[in-house]
Order: sequence, then C-alpha cells, then structure tokens
Amino acid sequence: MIPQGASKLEKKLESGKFAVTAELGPPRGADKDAIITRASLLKGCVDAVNVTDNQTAIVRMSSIAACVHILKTGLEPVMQMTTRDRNRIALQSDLLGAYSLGIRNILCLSGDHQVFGSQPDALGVFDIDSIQFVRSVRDMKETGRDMSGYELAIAPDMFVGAAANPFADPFEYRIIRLAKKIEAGARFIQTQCIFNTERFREWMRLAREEGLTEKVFILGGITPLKSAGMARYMAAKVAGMDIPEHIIRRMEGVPRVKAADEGMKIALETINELLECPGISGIHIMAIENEQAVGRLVEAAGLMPDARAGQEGN
Amino acid sequence: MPDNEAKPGYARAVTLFYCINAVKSSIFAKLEDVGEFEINPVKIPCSSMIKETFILKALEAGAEAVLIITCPEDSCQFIDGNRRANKRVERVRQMLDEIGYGGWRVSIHNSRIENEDEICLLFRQALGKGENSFTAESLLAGE
Amino acid sequence: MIVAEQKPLAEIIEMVSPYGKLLILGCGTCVKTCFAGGEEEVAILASLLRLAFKKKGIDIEISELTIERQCENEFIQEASLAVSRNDAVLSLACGAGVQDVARRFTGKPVLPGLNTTFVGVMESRGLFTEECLCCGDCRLGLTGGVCVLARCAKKLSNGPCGGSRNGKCEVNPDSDCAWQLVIDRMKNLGTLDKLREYTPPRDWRSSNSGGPRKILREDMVI
Repeated sequence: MIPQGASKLEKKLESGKFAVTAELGPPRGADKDAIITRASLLKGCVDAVNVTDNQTAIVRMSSIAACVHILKTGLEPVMQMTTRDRNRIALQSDLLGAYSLGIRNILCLSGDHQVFGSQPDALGVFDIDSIQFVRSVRDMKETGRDMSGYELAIAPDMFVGAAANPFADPFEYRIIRLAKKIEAGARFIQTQCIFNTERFREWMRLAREEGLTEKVFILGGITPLKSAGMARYMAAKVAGMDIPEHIIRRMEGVPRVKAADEGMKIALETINELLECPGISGIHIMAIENEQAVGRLVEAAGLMPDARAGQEGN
Repeated sequence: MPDNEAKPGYARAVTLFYCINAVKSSIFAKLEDVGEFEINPVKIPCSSMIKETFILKALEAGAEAVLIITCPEDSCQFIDGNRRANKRVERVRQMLDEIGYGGWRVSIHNSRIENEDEICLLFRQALGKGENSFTAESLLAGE
Repeated sequence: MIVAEQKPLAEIIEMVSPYGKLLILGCGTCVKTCFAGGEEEVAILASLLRLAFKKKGIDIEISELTIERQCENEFIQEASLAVSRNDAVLSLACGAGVQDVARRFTGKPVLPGLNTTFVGVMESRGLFTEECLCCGDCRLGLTGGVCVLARCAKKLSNGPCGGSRNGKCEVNPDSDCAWQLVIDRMKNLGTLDKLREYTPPRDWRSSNSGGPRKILREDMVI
C-alpha cells in the first residue's frame, strides 16, 4: 500500500506539466477518519496535498501521522515541517521516519509564532530556520549524511520545497530571499495566496530577471474567498496578506448568498492569469475547511487531471 | 489610618506640598484650619522636587491626605517641573490603590493661588463632600 | 544594562509577610539605571510596605540599605551587619545579585523583589528594550549591528519571515521587525548583497543551552 520510489509531484513538474496541489489541516484530536474523509474529497482533483504542521501554532494531529493516513487513501502528501516546535535532532529524526513511511515531499517553514496558537505559554524552539532546514534536507539527499556528518544507512531522497510570500515586506528584499531559498536547495516554491495580481506579476518579473524561474518550480497560491467578512478579516488581521480594495468591494457588492460564488469567480480569474504567466508551474489551492470548493475550482479551470493529460506547463 | 481614633478636638492631618512659584507662603500665616482638617504646608522650590517618597513619608507620619499644588501646565518656570510632579503623583496613587491604602488620598492641583479665598476653595474642593471627593472616599473606606 | 522591573506589590507583600524584621537591599548599578531597585526605589517600597502592613494590623520592622552592586563580595560584605539584624532580605537586585547575596548569607532567606527581564538599553527616556541574548558567539558585524537572535521573535538567521509588515513584527506590532532593521542598516552601509550569503545553523553550545557558563580569568587569580 505504501508506495516506494520517487515523488509523483516531482515527476509531474519535471515533465513540464502544470501541477495542482491543495492543503489539508489535520484534526484537533486523534480522529483519523476526519482526515481520510477530507482527503477523499481531493482525490482525483490534485497531484499532491500539503499536510500542515500545527498550523497557526494550534495543537493538531502531527503532520507525519496525517500524511500516513493520506498515503493510505492513494493521495500523495507534501509534509509541512516547521522549525518552531522541534530542534535539529527531532527534525532530522522525523525526516528519516517520514521517508521510511513513504512520504516523498517536504515543505520547510519557520512556522507561525507560538503566541498565536493554543499554547502561547510554550517555548518556541527555532533551533534552525527554514532556509537552514531546506539546506539540510538537500544535503542529506546529496551527501547521504545527516547534519552531524554521519553516513546514513538509507538517506531520504525528498523533494524539498519552501514557501514564499511576494506580498510581505520589504518588497525589494523578497527576491533576494527567494534566491537564497533556491540556492539552499528548494526545488519548488508555493506562494502565499494571490489577490493582488499586479504585485504578483511584478514579483514574477523580478524572479525571471534573476533567472530564478529556470531553477525552481513556482506554484501560485489560490484561496477562494467565502464572504466579504472573510476578505476583510484576512486583509486586516493576517500578516503578509495583500487583498486590494477592489476585491473587497467586489465581495461586498454581491448579496451574501452569492458571495461564495463571487469568491470562486475571483479565484478562477487569478488561475487563468497564472496559466498565462511565464515561470509559473502550477497552483497551490489553500481552501482549509472548504475542500469541496477545490474540486469545483479545479474543474472550472479545466485543470482536472484527465483534462491536463496533454497540457504543457509554462 | 492614623493611630489616633477620631476624638473631639482632634483634627485630621493633611500635608500640603506647594511649589513656591504657585503659592505665596504668606497665605498660610493667616489661614485657619479647614473644618476638621489641620493643614501642614511644606514649601518646595520647584514642583519637580516632589518625590514619591515625600508623599509616602507624609502618609506614614500620619497624614490622612496629601495635597500638591503646582503651577498650571505650560507655565512652569522650570519647564517640566509640574509635568514630572503630575506623573509621580499618578504613580503614587496607583501604588496606594494596589496596596488598598487609597490612592484618592493624594491629589495634585495645577493652579496658581493668589489669596486665602482661593486656597480655602481648593481645600473645600479637595477635602469636601462632593462626589468622588476625599471625604466621600474616606467614609466609604470606613474612616 | 540588565533590565528588571519590580514585582507586583501584592506578590511582594505575600512573600515577606512571614517575617517580623525585613531588610530591603537595593543595588546601585543596573537596576538603579532602569529605576527598579536603586536607593529611591528601596525607599518607596519600604514606605508602601509599612503602610500596607499597618493597614493589615501586622507588625513588621522594615530597614533599608543600598549597596553599589550585589554581584561582587566587596560590596555585599558591607551589608553583613544589616543582614544579621534582620529575619529576611528582600533583594532589589537582578537575579544574579539575589543569588550572590543568598550564597553569602546562607542562614537568611533572600527573596527577589524584582523580575529580571533582559539585557538591554534605554532607547529613549523611560523606554527599555531587549538587545542581547548572551549567546556567547556574537555575530553583530554580519547583521549591521542588529541582533537577530534577541530581536527576531523566531531567531531567524536567514530572515525575514513572511510576517514582516510595515517594518513591524507580526508577533508584536509594537516591535520592530529585526530583519527590516538589518536590511535598512546594511542598505545604508552599502552591504545589502552580503545578505545573499547563507548563514549556517548556530552552535548553541556557547549559549546557556549548553549548560550554565563559567569564565575563569587565570591571569586575574593570584
């Protein structure tokens, strides 16, 4: 049941095809059926699904466990790992365990600070940062050794990625940071969700200028808005989120029952822009607790796997 | 609370710190006690010299209330004196509240006093029976 | 300086209430500079405690003494007589000072009147900010004189994270994003490109994580 061999996401991206990934948050509890049910909603629509790691610093079932449950449904997971909760010993240990369990994709993050979550009283670890972690995953694969230089019996051969936020400050430094992540070994990048397409296009232009799009697969982040309230909340309260006025006004301008549809429309428009954008290799749909929307969106965009069978990436 | 119980003829002690630029000392020569209160005036060369310890020591020595008079905002001869005094009084009030001793005992008044009438008015306002006044609060505190 | 602030009065009152004779011991160095434990603060606290205990109807005799600092025996021994005359010591020094006094007077309870918070500076009047984590391996030259261990909430060596907004940190909007400061500083110095270089993981053995540290200057020992 547990697949061996390379990452399917990596194979898809390497072949030049447009990839679709989505995101799942494990449950706040030990209920594995919760995650299996939600995973089944995504099966057949996406190439791989990210499994978050105590997202927003709220205690949830571990990412590694949730990834194993998802693997059993036949879906390919991307295991997210933050450096907030574990030191380099635990992170390497989890990498070895994850690989042995059939997990092939890792997304390295610093993680939301513990002050935001369910245990603000906890000690934040932050032994290494996300870029150092990317580098150590890469080194493990290339040298077959762990961070202490010890030769591993079987070294994990992970497809490693990182997150990027084209909308955080300072803008001019974001490309330097992207270059740093790629240099450290990131093979794919998933961006923060895109609403300000103008700013995103500018970021992509700078990335192309630096030659970065030749070196890494970039998947643009998409989140379908469900309501005007959601748009306003995200714009005001979520750091690193950029939702332009005109988008908020669009969401406010339709009756409440139609808001979710308008949000899907906006998401579709963004996807279509991304399809035309040189250097974009796919989309990453973040629709937590809204998994039904993922299938609808992917279908409406003409990106269902069978429809994509002959499609070339940009 | 002072050690002495309220006895007939016993006046309640109040210490007044006043900046000499805000109040003429000669006023106190002609002043009578205000009702049941005995005012003990202490002159200060600059309101910035009002320290938390002065206020606290006055209370330790038996004063039931401490009043401070400084010049109005923006007219302190030494520029910041009255602002510093205001901040320190606020701090002492907070600390007294924290120990349950009654921050309402300490009050600061930023106004120049020209004559006996004005100072008597100030005392009546500060120590009188109006809402949130010293007297009302002290009655609430059971003194 | 070491920056500390006084514990809440209720906590102090509870801590000292078992004792009939209390010595409040102040310190004239760091905590005087951050207005938490110098001579003035000792006097204020002593008055407040006397008033508080008087109100409760509890008898307590409070003495006051401030020495230059509580982290060197040369000064601590000046307090010997005062300590011997009291049942307990309420030290207004930083945690190090409280401990040094406690090690010299093992027969008396030595209680902390302050919460020692951080190693920092007075950035402007009345404003104290944390600057140094005492990591034991200072790299300030690489980040334009801004410490990313002490001042970045996630201790990022290759920052910033995605939560930097308008130069402020997502964790505390009152705090500056340390990496924004680094970038601004290095831009000013014309060395921004140095930040393209990868910074490898820290060796935390030089910090308290490796255990409590000791420095012995042999050249000073006669």
